[in-house]
Amino acid sequence: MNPASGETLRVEGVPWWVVVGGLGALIAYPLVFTMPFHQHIVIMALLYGTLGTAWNILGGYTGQVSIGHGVYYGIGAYTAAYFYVNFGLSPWVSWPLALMIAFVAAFVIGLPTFRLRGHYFVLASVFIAEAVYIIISNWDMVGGAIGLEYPIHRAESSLDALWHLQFHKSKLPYYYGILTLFVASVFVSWRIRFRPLGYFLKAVSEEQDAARSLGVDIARYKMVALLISVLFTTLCGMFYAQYVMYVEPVNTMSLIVSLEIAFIAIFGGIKTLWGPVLGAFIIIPVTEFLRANFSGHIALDQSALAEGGIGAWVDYYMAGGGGNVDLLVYGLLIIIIARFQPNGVIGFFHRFD
Amino acid sequence: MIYVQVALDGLIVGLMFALVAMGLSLIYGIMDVVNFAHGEFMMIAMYASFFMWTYLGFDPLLSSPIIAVCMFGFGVLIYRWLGKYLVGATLIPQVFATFGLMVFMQAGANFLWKADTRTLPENWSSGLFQFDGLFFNMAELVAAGGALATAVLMFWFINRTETGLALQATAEDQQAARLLGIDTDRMFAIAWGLSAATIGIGGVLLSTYYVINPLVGVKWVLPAFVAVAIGGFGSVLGAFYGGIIIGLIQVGGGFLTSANYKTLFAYGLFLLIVLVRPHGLMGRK
Amino acid sequence: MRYKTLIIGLVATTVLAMGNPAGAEDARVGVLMPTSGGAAKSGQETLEAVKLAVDIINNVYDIDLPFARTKGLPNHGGAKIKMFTEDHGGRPERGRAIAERLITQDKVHILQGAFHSSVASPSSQVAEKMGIPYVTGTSESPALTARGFKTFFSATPTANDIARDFFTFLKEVRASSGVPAKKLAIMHINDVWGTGLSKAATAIYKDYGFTEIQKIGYPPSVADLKSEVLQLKQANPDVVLQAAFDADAILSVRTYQALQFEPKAILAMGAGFASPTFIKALGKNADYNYSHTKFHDALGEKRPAVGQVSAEFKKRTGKPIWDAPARAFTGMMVVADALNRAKSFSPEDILAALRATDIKGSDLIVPYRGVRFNSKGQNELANGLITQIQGGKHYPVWPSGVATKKAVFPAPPWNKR
Repeated sequence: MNPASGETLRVEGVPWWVVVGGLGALIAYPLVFTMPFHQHIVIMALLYGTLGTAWNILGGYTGQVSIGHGVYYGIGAYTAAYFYVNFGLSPWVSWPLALMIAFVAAFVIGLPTFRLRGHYFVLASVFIAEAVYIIISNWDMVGGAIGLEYPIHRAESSLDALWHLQFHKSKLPYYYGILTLFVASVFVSWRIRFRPLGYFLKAVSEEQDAARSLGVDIARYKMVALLISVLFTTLCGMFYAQYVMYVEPVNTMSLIVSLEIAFIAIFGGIKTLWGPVLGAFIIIPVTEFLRANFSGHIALDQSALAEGGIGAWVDYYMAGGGGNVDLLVYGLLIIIIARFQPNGVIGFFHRFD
Repeated sequence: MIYVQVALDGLIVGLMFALVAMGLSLIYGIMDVVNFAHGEFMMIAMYASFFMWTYLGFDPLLSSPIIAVCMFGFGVLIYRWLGKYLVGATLIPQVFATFGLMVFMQAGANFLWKADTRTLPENWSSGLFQFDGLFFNMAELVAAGGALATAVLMFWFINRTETGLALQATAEDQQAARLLGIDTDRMFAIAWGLSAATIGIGGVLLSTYYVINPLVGVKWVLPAFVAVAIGGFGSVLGAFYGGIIIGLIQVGGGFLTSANYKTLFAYGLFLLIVLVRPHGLMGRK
Repeated sequence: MRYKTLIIGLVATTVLAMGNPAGAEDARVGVLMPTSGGAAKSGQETLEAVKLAVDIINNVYDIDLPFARTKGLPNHGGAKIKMFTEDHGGRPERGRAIAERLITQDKVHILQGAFHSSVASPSSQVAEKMGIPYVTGTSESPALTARGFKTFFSATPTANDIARDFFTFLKEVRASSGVPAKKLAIMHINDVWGTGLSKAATAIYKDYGFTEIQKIGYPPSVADLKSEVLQLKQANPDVVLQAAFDADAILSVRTYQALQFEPKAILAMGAGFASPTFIKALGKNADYNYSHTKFHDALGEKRPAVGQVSAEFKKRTGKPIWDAPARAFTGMMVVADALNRAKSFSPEDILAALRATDIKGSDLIVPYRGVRFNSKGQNELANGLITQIQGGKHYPVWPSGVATKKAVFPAPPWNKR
């Protein structure tokens, strides 16, 4: 990356002008596409892009695959919601508390589980997340299974709206808010990847025993990666709470959420900077498209065969919801990518040595 | 007295978990792959049992060997189509691929058979079984017995037949096995087939008293994961014990405290065990 | 692959995700239902019922309901109802996004939904923000109308009403049979809906002569219900209130039978117990369970439309209509009624029409005394009926005006059935 020698400056293989152009496009997007739904799609893509990028710092760079990040996401969402609903405290005030709780959780979860290898770590993360989910579902103080609903606050002024972080006239503040978070996470990820910290993490990820024998403090590096990852994940959770104005255990910390977060990154390509971003910007629009056009289509004169007839579309997991077509396609897509391009979609752009 | 009931019920449920867990452990043991779509095999077997009853009038007892054979073939098919490419793959592509398979199979089931819940009507194994103040659903007892029998069969196969020993050899050391002339590819296929067949039998047994819908596999497979993890990946016997333990904890723990928390105990136990023994009770390194 | 291709692909996908326009004079109704997820089956059938309603309204049917014998909305020159729907899969953020899309892109005049109260909440929040009317025929959470929204209207009874109906019935049947009942247990699926019943019952059980309450909740993903039922057995309640979907309803009763758990009465909040699959799966073990439901064929004796719609539904889906689809059907009829009376399809006019809604009970296929909204948008004439399964069929046993059979209380023990 030496401009002086005439070579184009690249950010992980992507020319700088593409990066700048992309950022510019993102900034200009909501001004051009003013329909709330179109803005919503990109807001979701940015949200998941941030989540994926944050996850990747732990999962990709450090090789600790966690299918339990929903815990931190949920902590962010619930802290924001709880303090707002009960005390009228805006996230501007409650975010340090949310981060504190999340960091404590990270310590409690990370320290004991980091010494687990491979599948054990993955499962541990799943089970811990499930455990937290069950506990929250039964904790009346935060609404139990019903969750917390935000009261609508009609702001008197823009400043008032900014304080309450509720914007009803336009999505732009939400959009630029998450865009900022997104850019920050990508920036941090970039700085980690190509700096000493990144190399240490890589060493931890790939040659743990060798690294340890060289005196690298494995646990410390894993924890650092986890905390950075948690930082962004928690903030995303807070954003989500303010955006949707309804938090309940399923949409904030269930296994589904944890899986989604991990998958955006895996699908796009872990271990790289742009992989999770790519993953988010492919999966979110595609699933939204499929669902918007293929769901709710139940033939009125369904075949009268009582059972076994081809009938309505149903989905269970993922962002799908377009019913079956969406999920069939999605599942197929995953299988195909996993089989032919296990490094993720980014493998089409990058060659991996 | 009710505690005896609790314990026995836990055992019954545990035997089913054990059967599910063993299939999982088999695939892992031989090729280091965790098959997240495992529960979906069970789901398919349950639907097969349902359709055999509805359209052919086959009692589950009759259809179970047929379905077992079909599931074996299905498992081999999945291996050839997808599992093969996961040999030696790192963690993430595995998780990725088998998860995609799970999503696809669930979606396929929904697509073909809708979300309706189906059940098998009463059959020869229905009815109550009472003994000295203890009550059991006969079908469940039969299913538990069937699970135990299948487990024993599987152990016998793995430990006493040539193919079974070859499987073990491949699990121990693929290279060495190949050097000995064992067709590892065939071994992998057999493992997938066996895994599908055993959980398929479990599905048929379950179908005699449980509900059938596209989501049913997930319910049984998550505790089975805990079971395998507790027993230790790679050990089929460990998975068996793990299943029993999980069944006991779930029913017992849920009864003693609150049913809401019953899965927590399983998770808690897992964490406790792996912190002390990072490879589970009997797992391989 | 080049970056350009990727960018074009992404843009094209986003553009394609836009909605589709429709005729200008039609009344556009957005419908949110879960056709996927844990409540998929119920959601699918509920959506079918809504589509049936739209079809009946738009075309000519020989059915004794308003709008059936005419084409479209008479006051608007036969304008048709055009329905836009998208699956929310039970996820609140999706409900919110869908509502937004339906309003801003598909330009619907009114929304109906959403089965899940957790989805009805944020989606109606969006509607309230944008001033678009929102009618629910299916979401039962009392919190929805408690919000006091100007645009939100609920035609269905809430969990509070259901709890109140249960206790009223229990008080009556306790008195008439002379059998005491003091201990109560609530067995519920631990989600928004099930917890709603638990809360509602906890608030008022003492007022009806119950002294003890045991609450047992279970997570939706649980594989077996043994520990729950064993706890129930140990607690030995006289009466159990239950909230369960298909799978857990069937499983729980099977476990009750296996463990010989026999309370004097089990009253279920519709859903799993009211669905036809329940009886099919359990055979005679389904007997003596009560359901709070808002649909029964017996209503057809006084209201012919009930039987006619029921037949039509069966023709289309091969299944009988039941509680949730019937209420969704009613929701759409309420929507059509308001649209018809509205001076125009502007939000203000539709809202004014909704507030003035006064539908007679005889024009409904559900047992409500009528549809009239109070100041918070709740239908104060909504009520249900309680049925008991006897001999493999549901029979209304309460209230007395609709009852066709007497309730068998207490339920006979298992070994005497």
